[in-house]
Amino acid sequence: MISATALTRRFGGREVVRDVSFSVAPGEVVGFLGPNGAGKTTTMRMLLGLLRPSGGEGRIDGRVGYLPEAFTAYDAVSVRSYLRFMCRMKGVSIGDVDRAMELAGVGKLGRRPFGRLSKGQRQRVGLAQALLGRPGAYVLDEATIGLDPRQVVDARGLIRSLADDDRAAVLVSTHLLAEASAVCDRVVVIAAGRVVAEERPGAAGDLEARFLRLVGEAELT
Amino acid sequence: MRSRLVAVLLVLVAGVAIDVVGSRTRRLYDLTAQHSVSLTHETKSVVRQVHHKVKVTVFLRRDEPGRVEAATLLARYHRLNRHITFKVLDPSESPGELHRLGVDPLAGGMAAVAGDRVERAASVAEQDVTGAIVRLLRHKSPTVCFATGHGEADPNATLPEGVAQLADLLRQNGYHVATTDLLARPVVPAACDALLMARPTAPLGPAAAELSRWLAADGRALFLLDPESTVDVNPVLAPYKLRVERGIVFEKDPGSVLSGDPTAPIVHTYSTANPLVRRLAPTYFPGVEEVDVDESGHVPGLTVSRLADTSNASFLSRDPQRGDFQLGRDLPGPVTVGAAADLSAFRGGTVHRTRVVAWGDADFATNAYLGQAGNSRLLVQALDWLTIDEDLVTLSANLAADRPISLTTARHRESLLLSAALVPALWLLAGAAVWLARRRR
Amino acid sequence: MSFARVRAVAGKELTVLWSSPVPYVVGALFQAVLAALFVDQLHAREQAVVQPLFPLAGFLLLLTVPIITMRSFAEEARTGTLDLLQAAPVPPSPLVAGKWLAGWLTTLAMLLPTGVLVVIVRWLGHPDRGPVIAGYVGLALLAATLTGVGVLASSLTSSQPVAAMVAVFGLLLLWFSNIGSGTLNAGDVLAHFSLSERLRSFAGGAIDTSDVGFLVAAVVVTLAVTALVVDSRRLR
Repeated sequence: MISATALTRRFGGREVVRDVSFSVAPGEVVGFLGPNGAGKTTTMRMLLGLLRPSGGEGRIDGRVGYLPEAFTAYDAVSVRSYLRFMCRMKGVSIGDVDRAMELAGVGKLGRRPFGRLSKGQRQRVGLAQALLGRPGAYVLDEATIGLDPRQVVDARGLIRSLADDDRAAVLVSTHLLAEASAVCDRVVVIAAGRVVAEERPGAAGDLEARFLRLVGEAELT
Repeated sequence: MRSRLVAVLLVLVAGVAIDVVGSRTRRLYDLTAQHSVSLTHETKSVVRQVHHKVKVTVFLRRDEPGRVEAATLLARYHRLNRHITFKVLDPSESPGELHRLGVDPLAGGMAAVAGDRVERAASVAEQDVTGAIVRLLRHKSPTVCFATGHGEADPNATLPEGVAQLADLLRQNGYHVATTDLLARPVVPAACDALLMARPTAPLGPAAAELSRWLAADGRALFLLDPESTVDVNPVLAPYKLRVERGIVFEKDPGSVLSGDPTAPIVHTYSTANPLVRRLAPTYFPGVEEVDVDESGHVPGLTVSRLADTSNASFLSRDPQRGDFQLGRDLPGPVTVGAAADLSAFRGGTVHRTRVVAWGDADFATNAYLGQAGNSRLLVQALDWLTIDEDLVTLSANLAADRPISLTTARHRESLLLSAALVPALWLLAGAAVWLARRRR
Repeated sequence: MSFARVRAVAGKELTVLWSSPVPYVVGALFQAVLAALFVDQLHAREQAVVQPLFPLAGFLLLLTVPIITMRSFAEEARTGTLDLLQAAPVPPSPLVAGKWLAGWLTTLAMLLPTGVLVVIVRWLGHPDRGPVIAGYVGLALLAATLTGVGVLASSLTSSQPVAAMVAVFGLLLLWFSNIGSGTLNAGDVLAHFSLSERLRSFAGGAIDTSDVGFLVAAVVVTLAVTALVVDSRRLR
């Protein structure tokens, strides 16, 4: 269960996030949609406890798998060592490393140092890292960025299965409408720091039109 | 969040506590072979007796190498006893302090102050510092009694053969000076902390027995004898294994005589560890006989040390008219001209101690010669040694052993090559190897 | 605080550190400069003494340890990997302890080659063994404190050069705080915190428990403050 209740954050007097409330139930994938700079990352960081809210409350029950927007690890450390390290940090069994690597599609990269991976491979290591220990909630910031089309499809399938098979609560931020409509049960649209809509995605075209209109309205006010 | 702050504060408090406990319950584990970074036991016992503020001021120029060592040494005193504080000043920057404390601006040195009393020393070794503290600790000034009545040198006489200057010197060094006529009344007064008998010329008579009795009862005495005198003090000295050997020393080493007079030897070096002659400048004895140390047998608690020897080229002549060595009659050098004895025993819970210093000459202490060479210093140190409480006497510092090396040019180069070039190169090479290995992966 | 986490953090830090050129270059420079200075001292003194090695090494560590520790928190904060650890969530204490441990071990490793200087002294003469032991104990403790300060400086910024400069500046102040008053005297508060004073007994060949206490306390305090800083920077 992930829940945001009236989350507000000011940076030097400027309100970046204002009164954001929503929740993600177990078994549900919620898209967090908005243009760049709308406050998606700030909201997620408040939910994760990486940023202190100026007002309101963010909560995640149990362990959380987090994939940051610009995921990076340690160049010198091999993929497997890194994942084992993260297991220890999360306090989960290192036996889970192989499963996470398989699921994220980095099963063959175990001995490769992180610094010598391609952009897509790095992103998948980030995904593997989030999967460790089968957490009950996921916060995935731009999860499919840098992946090729084939991998995007795989990743979307994986995200879907986290909710369907593991009954996890998944919050996926994206600025891609197609992605939202492909995997999400529900979409929270944020613009200029405010939630402007929360609904089930229908046809992609319909969503796009509404999205543009909502964002336009929010940015005008 | 709040509990974390509390935890961090607790750790902060714990850190301060570790430091405070560490400095309050400090112990020093000296791992050096000669315990050269610890104060001696003697100093420790002295320092423990300091119960009031003692401020030590050391004057050493900034560029003098002993500056840091002096500060390190004094820091050890301070650690042992917080009453002892110190500062190290540059004499050229603090003329006012120099003047106030009465320290010689050229020689520098140190001054220790307790209340309105000041004690000084010319150098800043452990013996000097402890000595100054000892002198500060002494609550009453010890009394030196000059024996009179048997033709001794007169402490009031300002003629060349008098010892008025010696009396003045002792007063300057914190002694009370008194006279006691052992002919009129052969009893050494209880007020005398030390007796000084300088060149008796008349037989001692009943005074000899009194001297023996008084010495046996923890007495302290300095005997200045002379070849010109025929008085026999050997019965008094005998229990302490000292014996005056009659005659006159002829010094044949041209470097050890003054103005070509072979009967006025100079003693340059003192090989004994006895503090009485520690760091003493050369001393000069116009007309001196031998003070022999009887090395046979062993008396429990008795330590006898030869203090000053003339050169190997000297000899003791039995016939003062004859300046050449005669085998069978004369005694070959080196000749001991001064010796000290310490007889200590532990009885009834207290230390009983008798100390005797005997010198084969009295002239060196007279007004005529007192100012020469290290003569005055020798006399002050002799009386210090005689009168200072045993617990307070520092025998010597724990000095690190000499560990010479000969760093030839070749060895110097090899050492540099190995440690400053080869080892760093290997270290870099290891880095390169790791880098290469990583590239292969 | 779980020791497994501390070990994992330290292990990761060591891998990262020793895969970079930093410890090799810094270590080689450290050894070369120290050896040149020390052999010069030997030449000047003509005595088989190791004592001068330790103040020299201590001072050089002042300049090298901050380079070892500068990346510990600053780099992780800059790249964002620290976020991942804190979202895991890892409390600050094992992070701080692990990073400190890695920095300390690295510094100790850099001290290893200085042993060749002791070997040289033994080759040339007969040095006293006590000062060697005490001196290295002192250097190890000093290294622990310097590492603590370095890690603290690294936690204050996300720029490695800034972290190194802050640490060097702070350590130089601590090192020379005893001469701040112009006269050498006792009971000086500044001298109490002077790292050079703290090294003196060790370098001379004695282990003074108050110096041990101070250096250990300094580690505890710097690490506690670091933990506080890391935690407060997380929740800005």
